Amino acid sequence: MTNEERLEYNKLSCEDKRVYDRTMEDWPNWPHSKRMSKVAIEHAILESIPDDDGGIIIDDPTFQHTIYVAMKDFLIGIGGTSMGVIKILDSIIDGLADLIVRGIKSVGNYLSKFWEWLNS
Amino acid sequence: MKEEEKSKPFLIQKMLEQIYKMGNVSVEEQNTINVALEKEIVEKPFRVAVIGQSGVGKSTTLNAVFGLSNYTSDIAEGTTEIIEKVFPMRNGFNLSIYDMPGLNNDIDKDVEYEKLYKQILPGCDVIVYIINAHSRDFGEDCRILKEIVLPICNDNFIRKNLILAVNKIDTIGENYDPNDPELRWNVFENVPTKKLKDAIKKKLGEITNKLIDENLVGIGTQDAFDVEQVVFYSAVYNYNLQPFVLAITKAGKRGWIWPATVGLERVGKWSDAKLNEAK
Repeated sequence: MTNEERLEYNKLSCEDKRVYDRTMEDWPNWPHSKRMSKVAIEHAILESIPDDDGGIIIDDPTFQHTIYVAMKDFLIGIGGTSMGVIKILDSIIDGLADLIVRGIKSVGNYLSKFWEWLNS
Repeated sequence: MKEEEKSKPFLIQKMLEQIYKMGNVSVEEQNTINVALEKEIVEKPFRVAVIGQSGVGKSTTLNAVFGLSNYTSDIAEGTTEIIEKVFPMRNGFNLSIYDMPGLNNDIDKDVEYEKLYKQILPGCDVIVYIINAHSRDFGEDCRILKEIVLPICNDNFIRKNLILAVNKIDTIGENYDPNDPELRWNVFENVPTKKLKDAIKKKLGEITNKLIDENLVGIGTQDAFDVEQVVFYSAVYNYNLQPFVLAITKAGKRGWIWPATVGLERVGKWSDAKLNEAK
Protein backbone atom coordinates (compact mmCIF):
# COMPACT_ATOMS: atom_id res chain seq x y z
CA MET A 1 0.00 0.00 0.00
CA THR A 2 1.28 3.48 -0.80
CA ASN A 3 1.09 6.19 1.85
CA GLU A 4 -1.93 7.69 0.16
CA GLU A 5 -3.67 4.32 0.04
CA ARG A 6 -2.81 3.70 3.69
CA LEU A 7 -4.42 7.05 4.62
CA GLU A 8 -7.55 6.08 2.71
CA TYR A 9 -7.59 2.68 4.42
CA ASN A 10 -7.22 4.25 7.85
CA LYS A 11 -10.32 6.35 7.26
CA LEU A 12 -12.48 3.24 6.82
CA SER A 13 -14.77 2.00 9.58
CA CYS A 14 -13.83 -1.22 11.42
CA GLU A 15 -16.40 -3.18 9.40
CA ASP A 16 -15.12 -1.74 6.11
CA LYS A 17 -11.53 -2.56 7.11
CA ARG A 18 -12.64 -6.15 7.62
CA VAL A 19 -14.15 -6.21 4.10
CA TYR A 20 -10.97 -4.65 2.71
CA ASP A 21 -8.69 -7.15 4.49
CA ARG A 22 -10.82 -10.12 3.47
CA THR A 23 -10.77 -8.90 -0.14
CA MET A 24 -6.98 -8.59 0.03
CA GLU A 25 -6.77 -12.23 1.12
CA ASP A 26 -9.24 -13.49 -1.49
CA TRP A 27 -7.93 -11.36 -4.35
CA PRO A 28 -4.24 -10.74 -3.67
CA ASN A 29 -3.65 -9.41 -7.17
CA TRP A 30 -6.28 -6.70 -6.96
CA PRO A 31 -4.98 -3.14 -6.62
CA HIS A 32 -6.14 -0.82 -3.83
CA SER A 33 -8.80 0.79 -6.08
CA LYS A 34 -10.52 -2.56 -6.63
CA ARG A 35 -10.49 -3.34 -2.91
CA MET A 36 -12.06 0.06 -2.22
CA SER A 37 -14.71 -0.67 -4.87
CA LYS A 38 -15.49 -3.91 -3.06
CA VAL A 39 -15.90 -1.99 0.21
CA ALA A 40 -18.31 0.44 -1.46
CA ILE A 41 -20.35 -2.23 -3.19
CA GLU A 42 -20.63 -4.26 -0.01
CA HIS A 43 -22.77 -1.43 1.41
CA ALA A 44 -25.00 -1.60 -1.65
CA ILE A 45 -25.42 -5.35 -1.14
CA LEU A 46 -26.34 -4.99 2.53
CA GLU A 47 -28.84 -2.26 1.70
CA SER A 48 -30.29 -4.53 -0.97
CA ILE A 49 -31.57 -7.05 1.52
CA PRO A 50 -33.52 -4.98 3.98
CA ASP A 51 -35.65 -6.62 6.66
CA ASP A 52 -38.84 -5.03 5.37
CA ASP A 53 -39.98 -5.10 1.76
CA GLY A 54 -38.00 -1.97 0.98
CA GLY A 55 -40.97 -0.09 -0.46
CA ILE A 56 -40.55 3.33 -1.96
CA ILE A 57 -40.02 6.11 0.55
CA ILE A 58 -41.05 9.16 -1.37
CA ASP A 59 -39.67 11.73 1.06
CA ASP A 60 -36.25 10.11 1.29
CA PRO A 61 -33.77 13.04 1.48
CA THR A 62 -31.47 11.44 -1.10
CA PHE A 63 -34.33 11.29 -3.62
CA GLN A 64 -35.36 14.83 -2.89
CA HIS A 65 -31.79 16.07 -3.04
CA THR A 66 -31.19 14.44 -6.43
CA ILE A 67 -34.39 15.88 -7.87
CA TYR A 68 -33.70 19.41 -6.58
CA VAL A 69 -30.10 19.39 -7.83
CA ALA A 70 -31.31 18.28 -11.28
CA MET A 71 -34.07 20.87 -11.18
CA LYS A 72 -31.54 23.60 -10.39
CA ASP A 73 -29.30 22.47 -13.28
CA PHE A 74 -32.31 22.49 -15.57
CA LEU A 75 -33.39 26.00 -14.49
CA ILE A 76 -29.87 27.35 -14.94
CA GLY A 77 -29.77 25.68 -18.36
CA ILE A 78 -32.94 27.31 -19.68
CA GLY A 79 -31.79 30.83 -18.80
CA GLY A 80 -34.11 33.54 -17.56
CA THR A 81 -34.25 32.13 -14.04
CA SER A 82 -33.54 34.73 -11.39
CA MET A 83 -30.96 34.43 -8.64
CA GLY A 84 -33.84 34.55 -6.15
CA VAL A 85 -35.18 31.21 -7.38
CA ILE A 86 -31.71 29.68 -7.49
CA LYS A 87 -31.04 30.85 -3.93
CA ILE A 88 -34.24 29.18 -2.67
CA LEU A 89 -33.22 25.98 -4.41
CA ASP A 90 -29.73 26.22 -2.93
CA SER A 91 -31.12 26.53 0.56
CA ILE A 92 -33.39 23.50 0.06
CA ILE A 93 -30.48 21.52 -1.43
CA ASP A 94 -28.19 22.46 1.48
CA GLY A 95 -30.89 21.50 3.97
CA LEU A 96 -31.38 18.12 2.30
CA ALA A 97 -27.61 17.50 2.11
CA ASP A 98 -27.45 18.15 5.84
CA LEU A 99 -30.19 15.56 6.47
CA ILE A 100 -28.32 13.00 4.34
CA VAL A 101 -25.06 13.60 6.25
CA ARG A 102 -26.93 13.20 9.52
CA GLY A 103 -28.41 9.90 8.31
CA ILE A 104 -32.00 11.14 8.52
CA LYS A 105 -34.30 9.04 6.37
CA SER A 106 -37.37 11.25 6.08
CA VAL A 107 -37.65 14.83 4.91
CA GLY A 108 -41.14 15.11 6.37
CA ASN A 109 -40.19 15.96 9.93
CA TYR A 110 -37.60 18.51 8.99
CA LEU A 111 -39.10 20.39 6.09
CA SER A 112 -42.60 19.60 7.26
CA LYS A 113 -44.32 22.76 6.11
CA PHE A 114 -42.94 22.42 2.64
CA TRP A 115 -43.54 18.72 2.48
CA GLU A 116 -47.13 18.90 3.80
CA TRP A 117 -47.92 21.32 1.07
CA LEU A 118 -46.42 19.06 -1.58
CA ASN A 119 -48.55 16.20 -0.35
CA SER A 120 -51.74 18.23 -0.15
CA MET B 1 -58.20 6.92 -14.84
CA LYS B 2 -60.33 9.46 -12.98
CA GLU B 3 -60.63 12.96 -14.47
CA GLU B 4 -58.86 14.67 -11.53
CA GLU B 5 -55.97 12.16 -11.78
CA LYS B 6 -55.56 12.87 -15.47
CA SER B 7 -54.92 16.55 -14.83
CA LYS B 8 -53.12 16.19 -11.48
CA PRO B 9 -49.96 18.32 -11.55
CA PHE B 10 -46.59 16.62 -11.54
CA LEU B 11 -44.40 16.62 -8.44
CA ILE B 12 -42.02 19.07 -10.07
CA GLN B 13 -44.86 21.48 -10.87
CA LYS B 14 -45.93 21.44 -7.23
CA MET B 15 -42.35 21.99 -6.10
CA LEU B 16 -41.96 24.92 -8.48
CA GLU B 17 -45.27 26.45 -7.45
CA GLN B 18 -44.08 26.47 -3.84
CA ILE B 19 -40.76 28.04 -4.83
CA TYR B 20 -42.65 30.74 -6.77
CA LYS B 21 -44.63 31.53 -3.62
CA MET B 22 -41.59 31.48 -1.35
CA GLY B 23 -39.59 33.78 -3.61
CA ASN B 24 -42.29 36.15 -4.89
CA VAL B 25 -41.31 35.15 -8.42
CA SER B 26 -42.67 37.43 -11.16
CA VAL B 27 -45.37 36.12 -13.49
CA GLU B 28 -43.01 36.64 -16.42
CA GLU B 29 -40.31 34.47 -14.87
CA GLN B 30 -42.85 31.82 -13.88
CA ASN B 31 -44.04 31.68 -17.50
CA THR B 32 -40.49 31.31 -18.81
CA ILE B 33 -39.83 28.40 -16.44
CA ASN B 34 -43.21 26.73 -17.03
CA VAL B 35 -42.88 26.90 -20.82
CA ALA B 36 -39.35 25.44 -20.68
CA LEU B 37 -40.49 22.69 -18.34
CA GLU B 38 -43.44 21.80 -20.52
CA LYS B 39 -41.13 21.65 -23.53
CA GLU B 40 -38.81 19.28 -21.65
CA ILE B 41 -41.61 17.04 -20.42
CA VAL B 42 -44.17 17.04 -23.20
CA GLU B 43 -42.10 17.43 -26.35
CA LYS B 44 -39.60 14.72 -25.46
CA PRO B 45 -40.72 11.32 -24.19
CA PHE B 46 -38.74 9.70 -21.40
CA ARG B 47 -36.79 7.09 -23.35
CA VAL B 48 -35.71 3.86 -21.71
CA ALA B 49 -33.75 1.03 -23.34
CA VAL B 50 -33.85 -2.33 -21.64
CA ILE B 51 -31.21 -4.88 -22.60
CA GLY B 52 -30.98 -8.43 -21.38
CA GLN B 53 -30.85 -12.01 -22.41
CA SER B 54 -34.06 -13.96 -22.63
CA GLY B 55 -35.43 -14.90 -19.20
CA VAL B 56 -33.69 -12.22 -17.12
CA GLY B 57 -36.99 -10.54 -16.29
CA LYS B 58 -37.14 -7.57 -18.65
CA SER B 59 -40.93 -7.52 -18.70
CA THR B 60 -41.34 -7.89 -14.95
CA THR B 61 -38.76 -5.16 -14.40
CA LEU B 62 -40.58 -2.79 -16.75
CA ASN B 63 -43.88 -3.59 -15.07
CA ALA B 64 -42.53 -3.17 -11.56
CA VAL B 65 -40.28 -0.15 -11.97
CA PHE B 66 -42.25 1.79 -14.56
CA GLY B 67 -45.71 0.73 -13.42
CA LEU B 68 -46.75 -0.68 -16.76
CA SER B 69 -49.70 -2.96 -16.65
CA ASN B 70 -48.78 -6.45 -17.77
CA TYR B 71 -46.19 -5.42 -20.31
CA THR B 72 -44.93 -8.45 -22.20
CA SER B 73 -41.70 -8.58 -24.08
CA ASP B 74 -42.58 -9.87 -27.53
CA ILE B 75 -39.29 -9.51 -29.33
CA ALA B 76 -38.52 -12.44 -31.55
CA GLU B 77 -35.35 -14.43 -30.99
CA GLY B 78 -32.58 -13.03 -33.17
CA THR B 79 -34.55 -9.98 -34.26
CA THR B 80 -32.60 -7.05 -35.61
CA GLU B 81 -35.48 -4.63 -35.68
CA ILE B 82 -36.43 -2.81 -32.52
CA ILE B 83 -39.63 -0.86 -32.23
CA GLU B 84 -40.16 2.07 -29.90
CA LYS B 85 -43.23 1.44 -27.73
CA VAL B 86 -44.79 4.60 -26.40
CA PHE B 87 -46.89 4.60 -23.22
CA PRO B 88 -48.86 7.79 -22.55
CA MET B 89 -48.57 8.75 -18.89
CA ARG B 90 -50.33 11.99 -17.96
CA ASN B 91 -50.67 15.60 -19.12
CA GLY B 92 -48.93 14.82 -22.40
CA PHE B 93 -45.93 13.10 -20.80
CA ASN B 94 -44.95 9.84 -22.49
CA LEU B 95 -42.74 6.93 -21.50
CA SER B 96 -41.01 5.30 -24.41
CA ILE B 97 -39.52 1.80 -24.21
CA TYR B 98 -36.96 0.09 -26.41
CA ASP B 99 -36.95 -3.60 -25.58
CA MET B 100 -33.55 -4.83 -26.76
CA PRO B 101 -32.55 -8.46 -27.16
CA GLY B 102 -29.50 -9.93 -25.49
CA LEU B 103 -26.84 -11.58 -27.64
CA ASN B 104 -27.07 -15.16 -26.36
CA ASN B 105 -23.57 -16.22 -27.41
CA ASP B 106 -24.35 -15.55 -31.05
CA ILE B 107 -21.04 -13.97 -32.05
CA ASP B 108 -22.19 -13.75 -35.69
CA LYS B 109 -24.93 -11.38 -34.62
CA ASP B 110 -22.55 -9.07 -32.72
CA VAL B 111 -21.95 -6.76 -35.64
CA GLU B 112 -25.65 -6.38 -36.39
CA TYR B 113 -26.53 -5.83 -32.76
CA GLU B 114 -23.72 -3.40 -32.26
CA LYS B 115 -25.15 -1.39 -35.14
CA LEU B 116 -28.58 -1.55 -33.54
CA TYR B 117 -27.31 -0.54 -30.12
CA LYS B 118 -25.30 2.33 -31.66
CA GLN B 119 -28.42 3.55 -33.38
CA ILE B 120 -30.74 3.41 -30.38
CA LEU B 121 -28.77 3.83 -27.14
CA PRO B 122 -27.51 7.42 -27.68
CA GLY B 123 -31.13 8.65 -27.84
CA CYS B 124 -32.12 7.04 -24.53
CA ASP B 125 -32.37 8.79 -21.17
CA VAL B 126 -31.88 5.57 -19.24
CA ILE B 127 -30.28 2.32 -20.40
CA VAL B 128 -31.00 -0.64 -18.16
CA TYR B 129 -28.87 -3.75 -18.62
CA ILE B 130 -30.48 -6.59 -16.70
CA ILE B 131 -28.70 -9.70 -15.48
CA ASN B 132 -30.17 -12.65 -13.66
CA ALA B 133 -28.77 -13.07 -10.14
CA HIS B 134 -29.71 -16.74 -10.31
CA SER B 135 -27.46 -17.31 -13.32
CA ARG B 136 -24.31 -19.36 -12.80
CA ASP B 137 -22.25 -17.69 -15.49
CA PHE B 138 -22.03 -13.99 -16.30
CA GLY B 139 -19.28 -14.37 -18.88
CA GLU B 140 -21.47 -13.47 -21.86
CA ASP B 141 -23.03 -10.49 -20.07
CA CYS B 142 -19.57 -9.24 -19.10
CA ARG B 143 -18.42 -9.61 -22.70
CA ILE B 144 -21.44 -7.72 -24.13
CA LEU B 145 -21.02 -4.96 -21.55
CA LYS B 146 -17.27 -4.62 -22.09
CA GLU B 147 -17.13 -5.00 -25.84
CA ILE B 148 -20.37 -3.40 -26.95
CA VAL B 149 -22.53 -1.51 -24.45
CA LEU B 150 -19.91 0.39 -22.42
CA PRO B 151 -17.84 1.48 -25.45
CA ILE B 152 -20.98 2.85 -27.15
CA CYS B 153 -21.98 4.68 -23.97
CA ASN B 154 -18.47 6.05 -23.42
CA ASP B 155 -18.15 7.20 -27.05
CA ASN B 156 -21.47 9.03 -26.79
CA PHE B 157 -20.85 10.42 -23.29
CA ILE B 158 -23.88 8.59 -21.90
CA ARG B 159 -22.19 6.22 -19.46
CA LYS B 160 -24.09 7.94 -16.65
CA ASN B 161 -27.36 6.88 -18.33
CA LEU B 162 -26.56 3.22 -17.66
CA ILE B 163 -27.95 1.06 -14.87
CA LEU B 164 -26.72 -2.47 -14.25
CA ALA B 165 -29.75 -4.19 -12.78
CA VAL B 166 -29.30 -7.52 -10.99
CA ASN B 167 -32.78 -9.05 -10.92
CA LYS B 168 -34.28 -12.18 -9.35
CA ILE B 169 -32.43 -12.04 -6.05
CA ASP B 170 -35.43 -13.94 -4.65
CA THR B 171 -34.43 -17.06 -6.63
CA ILE B 172 -30.82 -17.22 -5.42
CA GLY B 173 -31.66 -19.94 -2.88
CA GLU B 174 -32.37 -22.36 -5.74
CA ASN B 175 -28.66 -22.27 -6.57
CA TYR B 176 -27.86 -23.82 -3.22
CA ASP B 177 -30.73 -26.23 -2.58
CA PRO B 178 -33.97 -26.04 -4.58
CA ASN B 179 -35.73 -28.34 -2.09
CA ASP B 180 -34.94 -26.38 1.05
CA PRO B 181 -38.03 -24.35 2.08
CA GLU B 182 -35.80 -22.12 4.22
CA LEU B 183 -34.14 -20.96 1.01
CA ARG B 184 -37.46 -19.89 -0.54
CA TRP B 185 -38.92 -16.41 -0.47
CA ASN B 186 -41.25 -15.58 2.41
CA VAL B 187 -44.22 -14.50 0.30
CA PHE B 188 -46.40 -13.56 3.26
CA GLU B 189 -44.01 -11.02 4.70
CA ASN B 190 -42.36 -10.37 1.34
CA VAL B 191 -38.85 -10.71 2.73
CA PRO B 192 -36.11 -13.31 2.37
CA THR B 193 -35.83 -15.86 5.17
CA LYS B 194 -32.74 -15.61 7.38
CA LYS B 195 -31.07 -18.46 5.48
CA LEU B 196 -31.98 -17.00 2.09
CA LYS B 197 -30.68 -13.60 3.20
CA ASP B 198 -27.27 -15.18 3.89
CA ALA B 199 -27.37 -16.98 0.54
CA ILE B 200 -28.25 -13.70 -1.25
CA LYS B 201 -25.38 -11.91 0.48
CA LYS B 202 -22.97 -14.65 -0.56
CA LYS B 203 -24.15 -14.80 -4.17
CA LEU B 204 -24.22 -11.02 -4.62
CA GLY B 205 -20.69 -10.98 -3.20
CA GLU B 206 -19.62 -13.44 -5.89
CA ILE B 207 -21.37 -11.48 -8.64
CA THR B 208 -19.77 -8.21 -7.59
CA ASN B 209 -16.34 -9.84 -7.30
CA LYS B 210 -16.70 -10.93 -10.90
CA LEU B 211 -17.83 -7.45 -12.00
CA ILE B 212 -14.94 -5.77 -10.17
CA ASP B 213 -12.43 -8.35 -11.42
CA GLU B 214 -13.62 -7.73 -15.01
CA ASN B 215 -13.17 -3.96 -14.48
CA LEU B 216 -16.90 -3.43 -15.03
CA VAL B 217 -17.57 -1.76 -11.68
CA GLY B 218 -15.37 0.70 -9.83
CA ILE B 219 -15.26 3.94 -7.91
CA GLY B 220 -14.78 7.02 -10.06
CA THR B 221 -13.57 5.00 -13.02
CA GLN B 222 -13.83 6.51 -16.45
CA ASP B 223 -14.97 3.46 -18.38
CA ALA B 224 -16.99 1.32 -15.99
CA PHE B 225 -20.14 1.44 -13.89
CA ASP B 226 -19.98 3.47 -10.69
CA VAL B 227 -21.08 1.51 -7.65
CA GLU B 228 -24.32 3.51 -7.43
CA GLN B 229 -25.24 2.47 -10.98
CA VAL B 230 -25.54 -1.17 -9.87
CA VAL B 231 -28.83 -2.24 -8.28
CA PHE B 232 -29.99 -5.56 -6.82
CA TYR B 233 -33.71 -6.30 -6.63
CA SER B 234 -36.59 -8.66 -7.23
CA ALA B 235 -39.05 -7.25 -9.74
CA VAL B 236 -41.58 -9.98 -9.20
CA TYR B 237 -41.75 -9.29 -5.44
CA ASN B 238 -41.37 -5.53 -5.72
CA TYR B 239 -38.38 -5.89 -3.43
CA ASN B 240 -35.73 -3.21 -3.03
CA LEU B 241 -36.92 -1.00 -5.88
CA GLN B 242 -35.92 2.18 -4.03
CA PRO B 243 -32.24 2.02 -5.11
CA PHE B 244 -33.42 1.30 -8.66
CA VAL B 245 -35.58 4.42 -8.77
CA LEU B 246 -32.75 6.40 -7.21
CA ALA B 247 -30.38 5.15 -9.91
CA ILE B 248 -32.91 6.28 -12.55
CA THR B 249 -33.14 9.67 -10.84
CA LYS B 250 -29.35 10.05 -11.03
CA ALA B 251 -29.09 8.72 -14.60
CA GLY B 252 -27.72 11.15 -17.15
CA LYS B 253 -29.20 14.57 -17.69
CA ARG B 254 -32.87 13.60 -17.76
CA GLY B 255 -33.19 10.73 -15.29
CA TRP B 256 -34.75 13.05 -12.69
CA ILE B 257 -37.71 13.69 -14.98
CA TRP B 258 -39.16 10.25 -14.26
CA PRO B 259 -39.58 10.62 -10.47
CA ALA B 260 -40.34 14.32 -10.80
CA THR B 261 -43.33 13.59 -13.03
CA VAL B 262 -45.05 10.24 -12.52
CA GLY B 263 -42.27 7.87 -11.42
CA LEU B 264 -42.89 7.80 -7.69
CA GLU B 265 -46.62 7.27 -8.20
CA ARG B 266 -46.15 4.28 -10.46
CA VAL B 267 -43.29 2.23 -9.08
CA GLY B 268 -44.28 -1.02 -7.44
CA LYS B 269 -47.97 -0.87 -8.35
CA TRP B 270 -47.89 -3.83 -10.70
CA SER B 271 -45.87 -6.00 -8.32
CA ASP B 272 -48.12 -5.15 -5.39
CA ALA B 273 -51.06 -6.45 -7.37
CA LYS B 274 -49.18 -9.64 -8.29
CA LEU B 275 -48.13 -10.17 -4.71
CA ASN B 276 -51.68 -9.87 -3.46
CA GLU B 277 -52.72 -12.43 -6.08
CA ALA B 278 -50.02 -14.81 -4.80
CA LYS B 279 -51.27 -14.46 -1.24
